Amino acid sequence: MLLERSGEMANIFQRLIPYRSPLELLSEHSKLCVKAANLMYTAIEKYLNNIQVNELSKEIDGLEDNADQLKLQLRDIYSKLKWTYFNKSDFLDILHNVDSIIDLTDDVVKVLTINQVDPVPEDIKAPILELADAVRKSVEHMDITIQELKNVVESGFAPKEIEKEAKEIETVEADERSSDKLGLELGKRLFAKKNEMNPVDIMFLNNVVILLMRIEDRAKNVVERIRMITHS
Amino acid sequence: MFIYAHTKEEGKSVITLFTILVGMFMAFTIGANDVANGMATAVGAKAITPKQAAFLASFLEFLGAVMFGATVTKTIANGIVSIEHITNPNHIIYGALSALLAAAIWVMVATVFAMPVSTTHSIIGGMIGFGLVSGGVKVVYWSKLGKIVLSWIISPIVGGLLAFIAFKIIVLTILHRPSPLKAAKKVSPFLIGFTFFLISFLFSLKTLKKPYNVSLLAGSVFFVVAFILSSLLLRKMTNNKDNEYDAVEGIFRRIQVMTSAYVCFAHGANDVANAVGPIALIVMIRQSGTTNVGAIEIPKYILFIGGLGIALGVLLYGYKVMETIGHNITELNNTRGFSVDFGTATTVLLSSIFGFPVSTTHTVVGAVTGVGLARGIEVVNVDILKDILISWFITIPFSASVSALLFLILTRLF
Repeated sequence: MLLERSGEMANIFQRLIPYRSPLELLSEHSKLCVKAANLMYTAIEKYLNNIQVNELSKEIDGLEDNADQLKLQLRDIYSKLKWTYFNKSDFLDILHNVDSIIDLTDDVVKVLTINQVDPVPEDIKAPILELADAVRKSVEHMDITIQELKNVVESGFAPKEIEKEAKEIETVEADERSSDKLGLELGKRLFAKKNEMNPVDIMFLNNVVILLMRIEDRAKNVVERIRMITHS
Repeated sequence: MFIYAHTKEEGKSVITLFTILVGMFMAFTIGANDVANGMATAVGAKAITPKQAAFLASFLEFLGAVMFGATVTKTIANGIVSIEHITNPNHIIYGALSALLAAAIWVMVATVFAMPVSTTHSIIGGMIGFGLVSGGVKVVYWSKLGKIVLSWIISPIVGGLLAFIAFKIIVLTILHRPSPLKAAKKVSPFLIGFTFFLISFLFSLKTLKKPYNVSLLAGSVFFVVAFILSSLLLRKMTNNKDNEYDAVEGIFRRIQVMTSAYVCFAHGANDVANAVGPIALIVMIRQSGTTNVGAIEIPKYILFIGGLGIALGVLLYGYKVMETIGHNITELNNTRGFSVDFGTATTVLLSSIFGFPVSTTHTVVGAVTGVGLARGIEVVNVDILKDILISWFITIPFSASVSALLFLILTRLF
């Protein structure tokens, strides 16, 4: 025991610096979001073809649990008195939004297990899939932004890395703008079918669209906050 | 003038021997506990295994103790309390023993409670304790003590400043360049050369007591040699990484072994005094035959004994400590680790040269904070500063009290 205690005391770095870098943890969390977003896309594709998605829902649930563990570790690191070069509230805001992405992804697929719309009109299927694909790509670009943030930090906030980061951020923002248009268009199409489809199914599918757009919003919030901290 | 009875001489020898053994034990614990201060960054970066770290650290600690340990040892031996008022030489031996035991006890207590205390502060407290009991407040060199206490506050700040500057130099000359890897290959030899220049210049000037221009020449020679060798080695390095920053970190992973060794070297120089300072006092008195030991130089073999004790502590126990924490060592980027090590080692070495016994651990805290301020480390737990402040206020009173008590017991018993 004295040996272990000596080790704890002896390793002053253990006391000064978190064992895992917060950015590494955030990066891992973001990768889980990408995995979940890809699974979500597959789930939506299957759903639209009238295939059960319960297994995929369980898988995403598992990813969400892992993400929660990472979130707790990160909150613990930032909860104690710390000197941080990111503003604490900025970092926690990023964490909150990244975590919301996986939560919402989980919600989308869980919702798909509640009700089967059969059949989904062809002119609704394609845009939903297009929107899901856009959201998936947006999450991937957000992940790239977070991975690039590691380079920004490692380079000591080199201007060229900050510029690279800014370009990635613009991509996510552009994704979000086009997804907004797509989402609105989809909503209009759905409600235009109020005389043809079951109104419950219309509301159901519209809810899925809203959840997808929320994921997009969260991704945009993350990159906006990253832009703020790299330019501060 | 002292008259020694035959039986008293034997008793004195036994106690002297016991004091030396306690000093060796203290040196051993210093080596065991403090090796991570220097080697943690290199081991954590996987630049070196715990076993390799232990061997390298033991050698450098020994070297630092022998090459630069004399001035701080003299401070501890006769720079804290005046012993001229003590007429009985046995009392000086008891005093030295009390100081050592008190310091060792406090460090052990602190180990149990995982507090970041300093062996340096402990031994100084111990010396003050026996001094106050033997001669009252007038025997303590309060102005010198004041300067030493000031050095405890200044050393983390200086460590932080040097680490801040070192990291900023790396950022501006390497990380912010269009091609960081190319820049690293050009700049790193200067950093390595400068480190060797500093050590050799200071050794020549302060330890060998050579004139300034001779020391400058010696330093320059070491600079050139280190520069050329490192340039040749770096030129051979190829880039297998996609990310240039990873390649730069790869270069600094190798350099960090050198700076970690530098920290061990500086630590040996400064901390050997904690173990052998009291022993040196006894030896100096026996050599001079009086308690007026102001002009006496510290015998080299005393530093050898202390250095050996620290080296053994590192090899036999510090190695196990490194293995225990081996897989739990915090990952610190090599560029940051270099900056922390450079700031720490330079501060501790300069303190050694000017005779100020400082805490390597507390200087590390300052250096890490300095790199954090330079935006080099994401998160620094400054909560530990609170623990350090508390330890400042507790260590000296505790070790002084225990030392005083032990001194009274020993003088009553024998």
